[in-house]
Amino acid sequence: MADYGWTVAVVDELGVVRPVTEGVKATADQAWSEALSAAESAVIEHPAAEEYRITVEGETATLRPGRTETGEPDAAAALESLAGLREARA
Amino acid sequence: MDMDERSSNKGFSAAVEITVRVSGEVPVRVDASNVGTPEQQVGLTLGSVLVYLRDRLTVTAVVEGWRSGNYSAQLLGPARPVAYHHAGLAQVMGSQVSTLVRLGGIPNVLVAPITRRPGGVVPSHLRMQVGPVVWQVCDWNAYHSIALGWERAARLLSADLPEPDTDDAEDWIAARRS
Repeated sequence: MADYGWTVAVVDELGVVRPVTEGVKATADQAWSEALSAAESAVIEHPAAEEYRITVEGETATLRPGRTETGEPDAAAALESLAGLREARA
Repeated sequence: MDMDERSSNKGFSAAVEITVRVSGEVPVRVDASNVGTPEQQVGLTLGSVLVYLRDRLTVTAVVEGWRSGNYSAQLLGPARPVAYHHAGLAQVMGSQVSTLVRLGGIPNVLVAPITRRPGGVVPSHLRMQVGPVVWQVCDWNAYHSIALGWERAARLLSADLPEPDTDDAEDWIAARRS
């Protein structure tokens, strides 16, 4: 059975990419599901990131979070986008 | 009933997510008004979606986010026959706008490749979410034409020139380049 590796990384305002978590699952769907859960955690734990990168077996999704009217990272919108992506992949 | 109670009884309406599937070269039109003034506004028509933009930062965030899909969009390859997409795609004219969105602030931009499911009707595409609008970009031609539209809007909103004599942004951009 093939292994599907996934990683979630955050990019800071200086463009530095920092992997925050990674894993391996037996199927691509499982890997995406776990990676998206990890990305949700990354949004909560690193709310100031400029970008989140979710990579599963060479396919990369990027999320550039918006900002609220007060200039704060819009974590709620970012989480909604990830939920939408999860649904689209279902 | 005080003011707070009255306002809490009011309903609200918000477009949470609108999905648009695009294939082939998407007709793009840019209409600008009051450029270079605090009242500046660009109406960017991307096929059946009309996006109103006022702020350079808004469109810059979209341009940068859209660029991050460049590699994945190239992998999609050129446009395929419409029948391939199984999804009632109709040819789009510039005047057939069916969705109007006003984008402000810094919108969320999500870019994700989606692979067609065996037996599924949704084609492989690049899911490009900008604020409430999700574009299912089916090929490079669609990606590239929309990217050019965002970039044209960004150039207009970055201008510090006085209002052009014409609303036709094409003429105005050509005049600036000459």
